[in-house]
Amino acid sequence: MSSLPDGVTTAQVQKIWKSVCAELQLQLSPAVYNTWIVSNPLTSLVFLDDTQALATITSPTAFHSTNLKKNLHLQIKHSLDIHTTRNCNIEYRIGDPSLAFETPSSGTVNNQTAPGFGSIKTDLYPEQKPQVQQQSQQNYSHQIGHNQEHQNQQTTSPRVEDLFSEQSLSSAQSDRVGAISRKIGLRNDFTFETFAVSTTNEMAHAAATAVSNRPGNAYNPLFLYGGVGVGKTHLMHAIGNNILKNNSNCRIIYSTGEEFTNEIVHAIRNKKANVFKGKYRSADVLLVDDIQFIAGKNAVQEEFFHTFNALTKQLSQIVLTSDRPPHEMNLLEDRLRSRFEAGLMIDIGQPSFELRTAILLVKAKAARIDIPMEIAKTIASQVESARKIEGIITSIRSEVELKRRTITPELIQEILRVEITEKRPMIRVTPSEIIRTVANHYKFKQTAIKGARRSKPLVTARHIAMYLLKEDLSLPLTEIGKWFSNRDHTSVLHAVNKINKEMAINDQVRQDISALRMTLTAISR
Amino acid sequence: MKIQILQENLQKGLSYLSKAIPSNPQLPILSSILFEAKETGCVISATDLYFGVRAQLQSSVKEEGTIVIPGKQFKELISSLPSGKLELTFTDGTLTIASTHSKTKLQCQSAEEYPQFPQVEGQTYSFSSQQFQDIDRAVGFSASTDQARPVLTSILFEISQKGLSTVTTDGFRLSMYTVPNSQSQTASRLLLQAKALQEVNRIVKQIDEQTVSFVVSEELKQVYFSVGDVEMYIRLIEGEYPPYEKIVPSVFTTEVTFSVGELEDNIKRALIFARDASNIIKFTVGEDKTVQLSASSPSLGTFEGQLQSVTVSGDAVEIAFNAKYVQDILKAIAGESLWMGMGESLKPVLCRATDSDAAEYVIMPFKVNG
Repeated sequence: MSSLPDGVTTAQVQKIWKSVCAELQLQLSPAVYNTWIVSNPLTSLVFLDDTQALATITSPTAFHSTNLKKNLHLQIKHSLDIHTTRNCNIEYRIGDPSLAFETPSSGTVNNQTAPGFGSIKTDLYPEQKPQVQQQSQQNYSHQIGHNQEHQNQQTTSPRVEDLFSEQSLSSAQSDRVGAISRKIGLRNDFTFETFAVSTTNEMAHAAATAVSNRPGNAYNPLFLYGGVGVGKTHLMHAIGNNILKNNSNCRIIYSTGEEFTNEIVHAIRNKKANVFKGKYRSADVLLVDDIQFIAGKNAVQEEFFHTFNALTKQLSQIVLTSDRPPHEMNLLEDRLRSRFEAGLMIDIGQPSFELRTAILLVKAKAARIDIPMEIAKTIASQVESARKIEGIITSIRSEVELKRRTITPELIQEILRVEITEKRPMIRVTPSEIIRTVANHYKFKQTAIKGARRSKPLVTARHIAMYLLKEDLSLPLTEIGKWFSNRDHTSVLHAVNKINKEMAINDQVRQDISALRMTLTAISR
Repeated sequence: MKIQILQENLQKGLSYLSKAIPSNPQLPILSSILFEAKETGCVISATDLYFGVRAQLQSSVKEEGTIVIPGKQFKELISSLPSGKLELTFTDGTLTIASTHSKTKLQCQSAEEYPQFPQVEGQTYSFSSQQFQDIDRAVGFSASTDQARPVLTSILFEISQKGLSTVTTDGFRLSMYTVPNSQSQTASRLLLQAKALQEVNRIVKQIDEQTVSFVVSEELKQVYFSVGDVEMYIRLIEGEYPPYEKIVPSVFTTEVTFSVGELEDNIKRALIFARDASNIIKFTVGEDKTVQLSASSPSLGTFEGQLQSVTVSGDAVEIAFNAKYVQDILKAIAGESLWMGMGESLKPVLCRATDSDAAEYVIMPFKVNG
């Protein structure tokens, strides 16, 4: 309708119509003119060639259009023919003439077709106002004896906000997204905004952002791995939250490897495998945290494999996290490993001191406590994982809020002492389990660990095993010695001391130990 | 033209037309009604060019003819006549109405200038009369009456996942009703004027028909109802409906269940004091899970009512509404208790009957200073 091939602009159409109106006004009675001409304007004109033109007249209802066609067609055509100097074919349309007029000029299209609902308020406000007025107005009129109840006057006090105001729309939207994300199991505070970025995790952050903006299209699957507390879960939740923010209808499933396992077991036991399949395979986005838990569990891996295939086939996004890369998951089926490796794999390194400080400050801000830079640095230097930082912030907050203490270096030291030593979960395993876990971790045979060979990597692994036996199981040194080819208790003591020292300076050792402890916690009774 | 007709039948026919006869139209002939007498029967029609009604009359036509009769006067005259047989004769521009004891002469215009009714063709929809009346009862009240925004004066018919949804809003409150057992017949959204539908419903009730069916012409932007002997033409409203789903609240920090009767009584009392203060009534949900309803007028006094049969869960909150909005909802729901989900005191509130979620209502609270 808006094409107007040979330059008949809206202004020209209106001009021609004006002259036609002027002529018709002379011929018709005012009532007829007002009813049939004024409310049924010419809204578009297309010159087909030098002799032909197509005119469109828009009427508000079919009643208008029917009768216009029947009674006034000849008069309008005659007049139009003269003013366009062409033979006009008239098309009668029904619609809102005021909208039809504006459409050709592109700029106003939006205003017209999707009116800002803010304007509803202006339209409806006057209706509300008189009521609102009455209170003050009546008092006034009583006092001075006038009777002007319905006079309009600016009001200050109560009013109803528009249901469709920007503010109301956006707050309803964010409430909704929040509710959905809670239902899915995502933490609302884990967003990209609260994620501190530095060199160790910027790659992961960039990939996660890309995935959340174009789920299914950017990197599929996205595989994030790294040690404890490096922010894998945070990034994964942030992906989920951001996807929901962009599209609240997106079906997101979030689970941990363990929950996934439990659900399968449950489904198999209750003969509801189909329900389970239907649930996971209809997802637009599947987020599985700690996928390493499914390694070694054959039925679970099988099911995950099929789910994975079904989802990638329908271009659903998959995001996985793990504490180690796929090729280090020994018990993972090869076909799953190759699939994990087909996407983008990103290693998130342990946060550097600077990043830990930044994370601490971000989290402190979120918890609304003010931690001075110096203290932040002290904490960051002694705590290696971001998750612990969170624990410490919670402790600080409870000290400050419940015991009304102020944040001083002494308080921080006190909290750090408690947090770092006591919060470690109890590990209850047999010594042989520790040795096996350490052996698996470093890919040595258990006999090699226990044996006498002294190649450097083997020695480190052996020392770590001794360290764990001493620190976590509190075995006597001589007892530990017996596990390792009857070594002397002084050798064990040396090993424990050495690892203690290494822990302070060597990131790799610290990471290995925390990973081992995590695995041990998982298998502990 | 010459016909014989019973006064009762003519009066009934004219009553169907009443809303379609404008009192002061731009085009004078519109205040008249078109009277067509044909061998097949008599048809009377009226329109203001936006809404039109035609009704078949039971009569005996002796001689065919078509005339235009001044609407208001004719209607008044006929309703004042006693029941019984009437004879209408038209000769030389004058209509003579003869009853047993009286004879009236009315000046009439020729029928040529009376506007023609459009031919509406398109998709046909049908509802049971009960469904149609339920829609009007459940959502009709919250359509806007402000003609400046035609979209808001209409009822939205829309197919959603739940079935056929009907929606009205005036920008401050919103009503949604899902029609039970509705076959999915609408392919698209339809906007029908709430006021016109109300009139259709009034006529449907009088005629006592079981089904209401109508034809929609997207091209003519016209909807044609045919119910018994009566045909109605209403306008299809054009335009973008507000994104109503988006403002339906989903998170509630306070949830209250009221007994409808108790709440109605308390609102009635509160309204005495709220009437000259924009009908504002205030709900105070306390920490101790009590709900108090209050209203105050600076000149008159205050009302405070403690609601006894309420169940509260969630936080304490103070929230103020237009009492009329709450009353309208209480009138519309069938159940005995009303559930209300609230957020912060300025966020919209969701209401529904506890025993059915077919109808849901959103109202915007008042902003009260202090």
